[in-house]
Amino acid sequence: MADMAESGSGKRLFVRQSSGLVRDVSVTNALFFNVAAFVGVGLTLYPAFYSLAFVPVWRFGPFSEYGWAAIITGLFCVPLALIFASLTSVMPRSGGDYVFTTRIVGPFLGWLESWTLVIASVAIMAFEVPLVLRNIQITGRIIGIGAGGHFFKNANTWFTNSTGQITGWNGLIWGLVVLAVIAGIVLLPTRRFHKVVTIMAAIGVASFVAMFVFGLLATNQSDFNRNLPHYTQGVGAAKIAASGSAILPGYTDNFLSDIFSRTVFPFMLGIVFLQFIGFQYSAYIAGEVRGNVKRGVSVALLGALLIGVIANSLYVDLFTNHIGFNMATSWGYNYWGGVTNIALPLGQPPSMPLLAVIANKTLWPLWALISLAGAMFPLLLCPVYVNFISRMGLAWSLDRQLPEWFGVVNERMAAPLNAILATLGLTAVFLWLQNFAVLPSSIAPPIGKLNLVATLWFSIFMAALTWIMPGVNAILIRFRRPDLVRNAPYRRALPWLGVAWIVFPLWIYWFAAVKPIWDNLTSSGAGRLNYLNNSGITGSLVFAGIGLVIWVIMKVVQRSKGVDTSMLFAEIPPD
Amino acid sequence: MPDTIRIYIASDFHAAEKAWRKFLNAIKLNVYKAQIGLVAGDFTGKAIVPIVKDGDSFEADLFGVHRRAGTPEELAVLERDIADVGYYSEVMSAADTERLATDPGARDELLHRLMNARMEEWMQLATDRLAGGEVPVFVIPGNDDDFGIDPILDRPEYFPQNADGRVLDMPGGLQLLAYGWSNHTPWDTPREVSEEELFDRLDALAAQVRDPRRAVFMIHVPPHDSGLDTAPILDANLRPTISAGDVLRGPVGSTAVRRVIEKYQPLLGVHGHIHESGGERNIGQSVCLNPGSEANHGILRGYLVDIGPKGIERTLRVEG
Repeated sequence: MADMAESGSGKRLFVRQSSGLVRDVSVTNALFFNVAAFVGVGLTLYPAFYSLAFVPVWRFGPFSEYGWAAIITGLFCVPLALIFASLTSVMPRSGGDYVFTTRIVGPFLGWLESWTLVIASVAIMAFEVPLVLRNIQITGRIIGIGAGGHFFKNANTWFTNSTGQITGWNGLIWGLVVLAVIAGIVLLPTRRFHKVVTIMAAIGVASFVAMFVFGLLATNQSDFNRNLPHYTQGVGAAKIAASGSAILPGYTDNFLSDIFSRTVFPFMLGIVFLQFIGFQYSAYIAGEVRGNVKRGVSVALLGALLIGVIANSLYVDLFTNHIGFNMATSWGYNYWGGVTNIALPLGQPPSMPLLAVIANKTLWPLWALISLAGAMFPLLLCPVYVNFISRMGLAWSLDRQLPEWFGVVNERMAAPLNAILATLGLTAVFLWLQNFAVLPSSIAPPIGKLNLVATLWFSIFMAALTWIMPGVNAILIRFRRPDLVRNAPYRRALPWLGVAWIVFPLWIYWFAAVKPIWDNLTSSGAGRLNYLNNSGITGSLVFAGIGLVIWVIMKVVQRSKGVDTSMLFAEIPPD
Repeated sequence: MPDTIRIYIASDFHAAEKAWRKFLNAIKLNVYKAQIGLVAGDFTGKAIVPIVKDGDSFEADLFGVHRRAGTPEELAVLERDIADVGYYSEVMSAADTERLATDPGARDELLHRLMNARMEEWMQLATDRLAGGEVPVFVIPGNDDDFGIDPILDRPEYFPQNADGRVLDMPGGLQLLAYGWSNHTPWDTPREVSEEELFDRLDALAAQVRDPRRAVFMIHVPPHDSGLDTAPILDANLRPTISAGDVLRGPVGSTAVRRVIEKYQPLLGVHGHIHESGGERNIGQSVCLNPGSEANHGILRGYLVDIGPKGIERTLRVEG
């Protein structure tokens, strides 16, 4: 029996009653997946990211340089979202750009792109785990400020060693505790895992809204300035603001030239890239998106992108302008190690609810709840990352890029357990390297420990192919796989979308990565290796090398087993 | 005949023209160096796209994109594009479109005519491309396939051999048990029986097999709770059950098939039916696999299984 369905423009499609179903992830799920993947520490700590690039932070109009970087990045990401919507429509399967690159360009580049993305993601998780502890400390401080109590007033000593740092055995043990919680979530049966993620994400988004509304309505700068010295041994907002004057040029009169700066703005764009990575991750589970894949992926990507732009511009800029932009920026600069003449205020980064409770401590329960949600988002990011990485592992395993056992689906969990455990194990290794000086100081200066800044730059570098290859794929698909692109949405526009997108990451990676490295390498030798290590380059090269070695080993192993991997993606002409 | 036999397996084409053509060429061009080809059911499609003739032009909507063809060549391209995604098309007037919209009987009649026509075209194409070659192709209908295609599959002049409901010898001393029916589904498809009846039928067939350890059981529906049968759980209105924003999924395979696999422990179980649940699992000594299907995206998913004198040597999931 045939039923009838109306399409959008009124022409009819006569559908057979026994139509079956093939997809099971809703648009809302995909949107939440993206949001959970990109928010991370940002919910409360966005002001700290203004200064992370260690470049001047100008302002223009209502937005900071960081806010403008978010807006511009968002605009350029629209073609990227359309590329993903188009390619996932014709290749709707788990693995995302790994699948596109292997099929359009070749398996090696697909492997390298996804391998480096996975390592970048693991490093991001290692970055997020200590910040979960930071946010818990901050929540304790907020309660201490609002309700008092010795335990909460001394929250800064939680999880720390004698120097007050979250490092060494304290850092590792508590980091592993957080990792165990992450494992507890990610090892849930798939159905329950999604419930937990959805509920946590919903709480987080509600906290976003609460922070924005009450942060603006229930606080003011004069109260903040008056109350702050009580908690900073007398150091006032003006002094904190002045401490970061080296990176605070103020309002710019040269907006356009600042936007096209080749020495400052690309670094800020690089930081925003780090914040935005994840908005496209639903494309990596496109094999499960229900209904019209183009529409589902488009809505999920563009929706997450819109949230990302608003969160990284309007949300954070309005609040920091409201509470004291220079103060908040300098405070963050202090947290990253850029300020040495005054102590880090309250011993914590400039968390938005922490700033709010200083201005208005009567609402401390609200700020504490928001801060707790701020701890929850980086915690939430990790299971989502592990989930996405495990899907990548499954795709690798199916394509014989890794041994089959790596991607074997556990029947109880309905998920690739070995891939999940391997991801958690690798994250634990990164945590160990962050907490103990086990690397030679020549490789991890100054004392042989990975630090957060280096970890971040490492992640940004490792994600280069992830940002660049979608553009390459969009340009090449009509030549390399005309059979696939024949019915793709936006198929005629794809090469132009590819070009429109690819100039952006190439601009950023050239001026924020390749050129500075080249300039440093070609300058007089002192500190050269330190520069590479501090900026994460050596680590990136090491892991790219490991990826290459795995590739070669797997080729040899498969050949010895008689497996001809060239058959895996053999293009078969239909006619 | 080499010591090791390679079987190439695909399933669930659902009228997707490009994928079927790729399958035939994969064998004709010896892409996978296979000695046997198997298709595990579900040949027919699920929808008709009316192409409305308006003067000298033809218009249709495909995936929400309005398409217009002004010349016979453009019309052929449009029809092929519709066929490639597994839909049927029919050129008709706007008035006929409206009439069909209100006449379920006429829609049903048209659908069956188009199904049979494509089945005949496909079998003829397979014969044109593969006849005279050394790679036998065994096929079965699936639960979604109307009985109208059976006489077409059975025609002796066509190269693919309909193995449904039979135990046949294959190269390499292997035997093939083939069956296209399924347990009951929410969709009330043409070939469904109760689990008890399905077990009895399969059990009777399996009793004809010389040595299950040298036999391939090609049964369209996968074994229950095998990981090859995970699909959304539906409510009374045939819509996915949602909980906390997530679609609930569960095993929808056949307990009868599982019992038969467990009882006879064939060398290899070949299944289809659940497109999104492709993969391979061991049930006892049996390797069971489902190639999955993305045929309506023009992607040909398949499995290669190498069988040597001592059993299965390797499996490889492929796509073309």
